[in-house]
Amino acid sequence: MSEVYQVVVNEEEQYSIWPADREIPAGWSATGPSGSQDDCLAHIEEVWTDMRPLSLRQRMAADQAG
Amino acid sequence: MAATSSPGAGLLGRLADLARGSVIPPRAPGARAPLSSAQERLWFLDQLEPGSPTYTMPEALRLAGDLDRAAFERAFHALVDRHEILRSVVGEQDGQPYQTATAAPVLTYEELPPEAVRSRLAADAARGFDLATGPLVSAHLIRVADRDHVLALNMHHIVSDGWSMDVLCADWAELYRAELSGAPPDLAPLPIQYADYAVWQRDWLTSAECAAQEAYWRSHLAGAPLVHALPTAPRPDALGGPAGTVEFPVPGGGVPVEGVTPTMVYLAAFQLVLAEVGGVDDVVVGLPTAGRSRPETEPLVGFFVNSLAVRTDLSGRPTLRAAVGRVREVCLAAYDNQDVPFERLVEVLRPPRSLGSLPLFQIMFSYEPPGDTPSWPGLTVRRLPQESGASKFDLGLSVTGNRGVFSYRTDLIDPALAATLSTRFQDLLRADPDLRRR
Repeated sequence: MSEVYQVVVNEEEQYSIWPADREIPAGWSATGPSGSQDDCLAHIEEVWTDMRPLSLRQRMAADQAG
Repeated sequence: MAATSSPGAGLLGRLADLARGSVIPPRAPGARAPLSSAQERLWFLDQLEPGSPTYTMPEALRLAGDLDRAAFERAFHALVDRHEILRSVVGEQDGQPYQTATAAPVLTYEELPPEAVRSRLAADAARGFDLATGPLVSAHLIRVADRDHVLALNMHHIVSDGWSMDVLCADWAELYRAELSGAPPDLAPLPIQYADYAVWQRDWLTSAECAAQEAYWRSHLAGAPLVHALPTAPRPDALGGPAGTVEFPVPGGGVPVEGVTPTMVYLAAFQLVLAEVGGVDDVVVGLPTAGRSRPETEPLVGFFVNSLAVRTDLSGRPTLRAAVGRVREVCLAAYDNQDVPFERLVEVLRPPRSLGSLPLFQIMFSYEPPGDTPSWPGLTVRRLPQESGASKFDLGLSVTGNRGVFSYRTDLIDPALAATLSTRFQDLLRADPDLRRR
């Protein structure tokens, strides 16, 4: 597969990949490396360790604090 | 319930068959065969709109690198030789269709400047096929530059499906490797051909196992809504319409719900969105299944894919996690009864029919893990996005790896509605799966 991908992230800090030559859809922004599909997925594996959406993490943290 | 516990149904039935050594027998080589149930439906639809491109499967592959055209062409001939279905056409005698392998496709070739490729592919994707004369496969190699080729492949769905495309590309790549190296291809001979399966399936449709599966579906779909609840424009009398698409990235990790497949998670989120937007609790979505329960069908090219009607009760405002649980139960029961062909169900259930709206469900969902592209020696192969230009379903959501695509009939569904569905679907996957919604 020669297609080049870009790692993208949304405001809930969830990660995905998107073809690098296409415009990134609304709600997502580029982050980290671009490269082969495997490289991008490996990067996501490394950085995305908490699968909970950001808002849920924040709420749970607030619940604990309160 | 009686359906799933009857002897002969589902997995138990298949295990019993295996224990009895029941396999699909090959017929005499070259003998005429009936159509499979699914093929007969497409043949019938083609009688209504002869040569329509609605049920075709255009594909385009970019082949970068040194291509040995003669070897590539010989490999294609070997491929067509291997799979009888690639040579098949549909004849008719006394009103009964049959299949016979009499029309071998050839690989055509042309040289084009890069800027002309796109419109050439669009023209190829828009073509129809004559089922009676064939060939029902077209393969066109375009040379763009010395080390840059595009392969335009198109087939009528009556001889192929999504799984078949993977089989076909893998076999072609291996045959090409063999042509280049002079070594024999590393391909086991096919145990049967598609037409053998068609003969066998005719027999299976009269079995007790089939009757038991039908009973399951009759009970599962009793009282189901005939048409989805999304707002649509007045429905024209046509089998399909022009297609529009909305694409988006799907978060890579899926939703944290244990013991379920990505299919179940995304289907649950999709059905929740349909329930919310349509203002209903009872949602039916079609889910394709490979239709290759028999192991001897796995290496074949042909029209095996079947569609299951997944009907989920989403009453009581379930959370995403709860909805996934419900969808899981429905899917597991559906998989246990997946061998009844869609068209047989339509015959049995007899929903009111009209040319403009598909029976049982008009909305599809499909999930595929990220695909492996077969490795062709010396070539880097990439699938080019192909717009078929026509949509059979009112609405479809397909998730392939990390890419989601909503496709919809633009003559029925407003682009703004499609955009809303896409946004809501993504919002649902972004939110806490235990969040109770309004």
